Amino acid sequence: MIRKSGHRSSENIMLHQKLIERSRFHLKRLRSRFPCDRGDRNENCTHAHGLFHAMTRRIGGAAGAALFLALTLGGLTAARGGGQMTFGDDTNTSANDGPPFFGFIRDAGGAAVGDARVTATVKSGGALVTTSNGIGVYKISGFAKSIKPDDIVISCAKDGYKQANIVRRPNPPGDTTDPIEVDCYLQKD
Amino acid sequence: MTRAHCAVAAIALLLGCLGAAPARAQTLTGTVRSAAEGAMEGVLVGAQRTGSPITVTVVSDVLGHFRFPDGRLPPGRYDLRIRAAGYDLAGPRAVTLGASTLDVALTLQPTADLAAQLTNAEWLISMPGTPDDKRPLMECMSCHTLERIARSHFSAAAFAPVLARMAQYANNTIQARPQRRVAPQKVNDAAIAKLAAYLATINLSSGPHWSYRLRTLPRPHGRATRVVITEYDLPRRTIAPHDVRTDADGNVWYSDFVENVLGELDPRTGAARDYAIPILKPDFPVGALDLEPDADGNLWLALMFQAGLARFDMKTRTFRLYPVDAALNDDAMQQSMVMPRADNVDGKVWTNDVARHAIMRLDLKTGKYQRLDPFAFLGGGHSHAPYGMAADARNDLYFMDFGDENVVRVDAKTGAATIFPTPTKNSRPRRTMLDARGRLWFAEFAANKLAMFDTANETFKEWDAPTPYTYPYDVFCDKNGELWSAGMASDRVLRFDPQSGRFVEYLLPRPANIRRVFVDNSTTPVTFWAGNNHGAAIIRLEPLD
Repeated sequence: MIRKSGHRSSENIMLHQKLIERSRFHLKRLRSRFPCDRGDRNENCTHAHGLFHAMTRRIGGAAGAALFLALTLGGLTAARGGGQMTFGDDTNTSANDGPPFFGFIRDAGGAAVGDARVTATVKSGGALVTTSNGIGVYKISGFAKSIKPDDIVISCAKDGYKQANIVRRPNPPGDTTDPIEVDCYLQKD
Repeated sequence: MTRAHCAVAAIALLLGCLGAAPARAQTLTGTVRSAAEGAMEGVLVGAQRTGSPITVTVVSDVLGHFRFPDGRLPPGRYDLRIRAAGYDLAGPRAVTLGASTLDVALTLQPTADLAAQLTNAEWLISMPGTPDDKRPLMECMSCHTLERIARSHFSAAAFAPVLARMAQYANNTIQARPQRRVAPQKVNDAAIAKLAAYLATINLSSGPHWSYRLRTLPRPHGRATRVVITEYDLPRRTIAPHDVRTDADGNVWYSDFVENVLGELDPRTGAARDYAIPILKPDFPVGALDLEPDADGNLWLALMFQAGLARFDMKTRTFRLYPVDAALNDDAMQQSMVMPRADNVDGKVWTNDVARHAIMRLDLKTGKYQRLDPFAFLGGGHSHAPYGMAADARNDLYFMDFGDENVVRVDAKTGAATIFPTPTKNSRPRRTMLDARGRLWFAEFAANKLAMFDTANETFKEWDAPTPYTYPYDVFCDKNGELWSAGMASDRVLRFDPQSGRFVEYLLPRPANIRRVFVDNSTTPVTFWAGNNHGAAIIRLEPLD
C-alpha cells in the first residue's frame, strides 16, 4: 500500500511557505542572470519558468517549489560535486529536444529514496539511466522531439527494494514542452 | 649475558651478515647535487650506451643517491642526461663503465631556458585564463606541445587562419609527419575567433617575455623515486606508437599512428621490426589507432582514414583486411576503434564511424559492416563520439562517449543502446578496459578523473587525478587492483590504489605524449608499458615495490 504524504501541520505550512518564498527568490535570481520577459523564447527563461510553474501547478505549491529548488540549486550543486543528475544540461537543450522527465523516488512510507537507479526506456529501443539525488529527486532530459513522451517508460530500482508503483502526472492537453512528472515508489523486499 | 658474550655475538652477527651478502654485479651509482639545493631528491638520471637504442633511467633518493639495477648496464661508454625542472646537467655528461661499479658525482646548474622544460600541464597551470579559455587547448596536444603555442608571435587576427588551417589536418598527425584530411573539416568561425583572441594573450605577440610566471610541478618524492624506466628509441622519428601491448613471449606490439605499419619490439635487444599494412585508400592519411587482441590472440587494428579494420595473424604474420563497404565509404570515413575480443560468440567485431558519431559492426562471414546510431533517440543538444570500447562475454558492447559524458551499453542481439551519464558533467570518457569482475575502468579525459562503472549494479565511482590538467587518456587495472594511467599533458605515469586512495606519480625522463596504457601482469611487481606518441619511443616502467 502506497501512502502519499499529505499531512499538514502548522509547522509544515510554515515550511511550505518558506519553500515557496525560497523558490521564488531563486527564480528571481535566475531571471536576473537570464533576463526574461513574458513570452521570451530564450530557452533558459522558458525552461526555468516552465519547470517552476509545472511543478507548483501540478504538485502543489510547496512540494513543487521544493522540487524546483532541488532540481535547480541541488541539481547544480550535485553536478559540480559529482552527483548523478548530469545528463541533459538545461543550457544544452536544443530545439530538437523533447520535454524532460522528473520526479520523486519514494518508499512505501513516502520517504525520499536517494541513490536509486532511474531508467527511462524508449519503447522503440534504447534507454537512459540516471540516479536519484539525496532527496530522492531525479531528472532525465535530452530525448529527441520525434520520440513521443508516451513512448518513454520510467522505472526505478535499488538494491533491497522492488518497484511498487509508478505515478505519471499528465500534462495539459497540447502541452509538449513542460517537464513531465513521473514519481516512482519502491517497497522493501 | 656478559659483556664478552655480547661482543662475540655482535662480531658473529656482523660476519654472518657479511658472509650472506650476495656479490654485487657492476653498475653505475652516484649522487646528484646543485649549489642551490645541495643533495637533490627526485632527479631523473638516464644512461644511454653509445649506439644503443635503449636508455635506462633511475631517480635519486632523499639523500641525492641513485643506483642503476645491477647488471642492467653492460660495459661501455654512456651518455648521461637528467630531468629536474629548473636545472641542466653541468657534468659529467658521459662516463665509461667497466667491469666494476662506477660512482659518479653529478652537478646540476640552473637552466637558462625553463620554458623548454615545461610539460603541457605546467603550461596550463602557468597560463592565465579561465578553465573555459583553456579547455580548447586539450585538443592541441594531440599533434604538438603547448610550448609551440606559447613561443608563437601571432596576434589574434593572425592566429585565426592558422587555427582554421590546423583543423584540416588529420587527427593522426605529429610534427614529424603532418597529414591533411581529404574531406574538409567544418570550422566554427566564432569559436576560432574566441580561441585566437585567448591564445594571443598567452604567447609572445605582445613582447619578448611571457606576461605570466612559468610554474613547475614538484619533483618526484619518496615512493615516486623507487622506479626504473627504460626507453626504447624506435628506428624512425615518424613512428608514432599509439597503442602498446606485450605478448606471451615478452615481445612488444604497437600500432603506428602515422604510418601504415604494425610494429614489434624485442625489449631484450631493442630491435624493432615493421609489418607493412597494405594501403586501402591511396592519397588518404595513413596509420592505425586501436590495437586489440581477438578471442584467439590475433591482433586487430583500426585503420583510421584508410577506412576499415585489419586482422594480423600471429602465426603466419600476415594481414587480412576488412575495408568498409563502398556504399558507406566516403572521404570522411574513419575507424579509430576496434573491439574483437568476443568475436567467437557471434562472429561480429565492433568498430566506430567517427565522422557520423556512430558505431559499426563487422560480420566476419560476409565482410559487411552494419552501422548503428546508438543516440538516435536523443535530441540534438549534445554532440557525441563513440570512442574506447570493451565487449563482455555476450559480445555486448560498452563504449565511451568521448564527445559528451556517457558510458553506453549496446545489446549485441537487439542493437538497443542504454546510456549511463557519468556523475561528472562533460567528462569526455576516453579509453577503457573491462576486468574479469565486470568493472569498466576508464579515464575521464576532460574531467581529469579516473573512473569505474560497475556493469553488474550500474554504478559509478570517480577519483580526481592529483595533478591539474593531467587529462588522463586511459586506465589499466592490474592484477593487484591498482590503476595505472597516463596522458598527453603531464609526462607522468599515475599509479592509484582505489582501496587506500593513494596516488603515486612517476615522472618520465622526456616529454611524453602517451595514449593507450598497458600493464604486464606476468611480472612481480607488474610492468607498465606505453608508447611515446610524439617521441618515437616505447616506455617500460618498472616500479620497485
